[in-house]
Amino acid sequence: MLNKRAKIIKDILFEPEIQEKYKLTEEDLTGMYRKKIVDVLETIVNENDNGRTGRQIYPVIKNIHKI
Amino acid sequence: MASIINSISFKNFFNYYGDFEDNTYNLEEGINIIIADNGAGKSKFFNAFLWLFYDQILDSDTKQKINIKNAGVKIISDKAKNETAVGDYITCGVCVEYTSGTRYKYQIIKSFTATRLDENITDESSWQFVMNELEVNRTELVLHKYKPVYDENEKKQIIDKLIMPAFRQYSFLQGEEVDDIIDFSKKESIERAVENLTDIKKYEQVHKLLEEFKEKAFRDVQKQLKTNNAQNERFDNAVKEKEKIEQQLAQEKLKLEQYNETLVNAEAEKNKLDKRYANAEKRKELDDQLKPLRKKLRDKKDEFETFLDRINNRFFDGNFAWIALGFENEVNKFNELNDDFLDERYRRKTLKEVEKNPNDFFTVMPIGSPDAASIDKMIKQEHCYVCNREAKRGTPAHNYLIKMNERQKSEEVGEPFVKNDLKNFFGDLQINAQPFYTKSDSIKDSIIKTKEKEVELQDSIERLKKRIKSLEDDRNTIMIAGHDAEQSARDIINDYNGAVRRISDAENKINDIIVPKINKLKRDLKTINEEVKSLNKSNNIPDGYNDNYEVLSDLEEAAGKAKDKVFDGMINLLEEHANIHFKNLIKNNDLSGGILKFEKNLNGSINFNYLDSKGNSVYGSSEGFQRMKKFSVVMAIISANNAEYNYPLLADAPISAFGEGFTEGFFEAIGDVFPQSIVLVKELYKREDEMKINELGKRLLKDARVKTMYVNHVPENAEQIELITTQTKLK
Repeated sequence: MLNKRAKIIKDILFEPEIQEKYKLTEEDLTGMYRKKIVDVLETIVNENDNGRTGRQIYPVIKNIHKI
Repeated sequence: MASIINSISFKNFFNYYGDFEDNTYNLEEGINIIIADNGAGKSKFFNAFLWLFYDQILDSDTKQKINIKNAGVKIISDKAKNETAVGDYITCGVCVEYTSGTRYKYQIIKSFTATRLDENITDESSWQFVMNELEVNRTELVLHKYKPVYDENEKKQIIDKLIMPAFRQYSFLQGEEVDDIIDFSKKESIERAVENLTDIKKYEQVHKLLEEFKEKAFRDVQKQLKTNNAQNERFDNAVKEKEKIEQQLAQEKLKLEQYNETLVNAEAEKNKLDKRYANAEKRKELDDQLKPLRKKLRDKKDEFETFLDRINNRFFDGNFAWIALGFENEVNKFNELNDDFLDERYRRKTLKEVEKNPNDFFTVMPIGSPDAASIDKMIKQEHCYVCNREAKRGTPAHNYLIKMNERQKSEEVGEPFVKNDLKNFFGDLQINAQPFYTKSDSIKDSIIKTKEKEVELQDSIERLKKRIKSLEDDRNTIMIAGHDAEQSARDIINDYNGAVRRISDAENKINDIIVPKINKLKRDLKTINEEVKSLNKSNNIPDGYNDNYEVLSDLEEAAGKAKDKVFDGMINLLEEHANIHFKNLIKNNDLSGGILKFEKNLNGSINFNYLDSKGNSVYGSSEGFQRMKKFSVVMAIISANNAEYNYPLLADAPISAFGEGFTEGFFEAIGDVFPQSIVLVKELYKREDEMKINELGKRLLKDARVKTMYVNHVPENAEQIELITTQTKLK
């Protein structure tokens, strides 16, 4: 059984439109190499769980895009 | 790891007079039923849990929850208060023991001490209260001795573990409160339920963050464009257009919110009226029952009065002759005395005659001899044929004949021979008393029969009074529960129809005008966003900014959809479970199989309807039916939970409005949902029965799912200070 965090991430990423557009598979969620979209969502979900605010999380996301 | 309550005990708590050991209910996993008539400690039992969890009790007079600190004098047993001397003290408390899982057993005791200050026992100021420290003990199941827990946090955790606070509202219910727990027309009510069952909150948080980040990413892109000095007219226009649409969208959303508010208010009013309508219906039903009973009581009372009046007559009425009771021997005595009197009277009369005219007395021929015709003949012929000699006119012999002829007359005007002649008086006495003394053998029977009749009449008056009181109690419960003024049925119907019309108007406005407009604006916004995105790409700014905006936009949209899916999925699951429970609950009724239908409103609230077999909504059903619907949802919330439900159900009279068919279904259904149920119920009580339970109670007693059954008793017609509740364990 998926843990709660993984379930939220999967529910969002496997929405048909987004899944198709970014060609997301199960492996993308578990593999070593992370697509940026997966990385971004995981960061948001994890950091939110850690009690970080939006203001604290956004710079981390920008870092992923190297901006 | 379910929590199972092993026992609950009371010490001088309301009518539970005496120590914990005297008032202990041992309970088991499965169904536990405590049967009690009105006033026999049902709500008091429930109050113990209110105290345990919230430090409150429900004031039965005002139906308000009050803090235990302000309830002091009310909750101590009156008998115990009365027996406490001034200056002495008394303890009042509740004690619950429960096991959690297979290892630990806990004991929780809440109590306070009250010292009596003066003679008055019911006055708050006559007592000094000290709240005792919360006592929590723990033991391993294999051991027997409890060890105290000292840490305050741990104590709280142990209480919480019995029933987690978030689930108490589903686990801990009192009759009409079911109505308030499940009011799906209120958005919070359904959200709270779904929140407890899913991680919807997390989805919402993530979605909100993504909305925020998307905006930030868009502003970052704009900033880059400006700093790159690559201003582009088309891009500017697109951004302006985007902002315009966003503004319109915001306005429409505001409108939607306003209409939603109208809708919610109208629905709330309709729901409130549903209940009142049902209450009015129930009230009428009770009134219909009360009216003939009250008439019957009046008639019986009249009959009793007439009966009492007639008791007087029975003393003097020759048919009953009660007054002659005890005079049986007097009749003989009277006869003897009367005989003596008559003898004496005749003796005196004779003496008087002799004294007056001794010759006449001795020579006058007996009356009737010779006869009057012969004497007449002898007078006319002047000859006495008795002694055969002449009796010439004027001679003493002729005079004697004339005297003989008149003897009858002279006797009638005879002189009184006693001062007061009581012959007639005694004769009358004898004549008048005759009907009485001839009845004397049957008087005792007659009195016994009358006494039996009196008892019978009094009994039937008492029975009627009790029945009326019980119905009036039920009627009062409805009035208080619904805060129901005596509003006329017409007003209720008018208000109800008004609310239904407002709901329909708001729904039309939302569905036909606002929502299509919002959807169009959303589509426009999406198009313009695409255009902005593509214009971005043609600008010479770092890819990261464009990627960031695109990824966050896509994630935001997907997160919104995922959130809705989770919510809708749970609503569908609840609907499915609610229907299963509902079918179980109504299976002993004549209801034809309809279904419960949950429909999501645009504002996120849920329309919760009962559709009949033709798919039409059924409105204004009885309160019991309404509650049964809602109870199905409570059970659905519990059974739809992925994990096993680990808490007991504590229910005070949840079925008072259900009717017997529902009651039976209720007991069957709770066994499947709750690991342990403790149900306090009046409906199974039957005063006239030897075991004090009705037929359904007896069936349940045999049911293997029912593990324990108690019946509470209070002494009949006892004074308040003598009122104590005792219990019989039937199983």
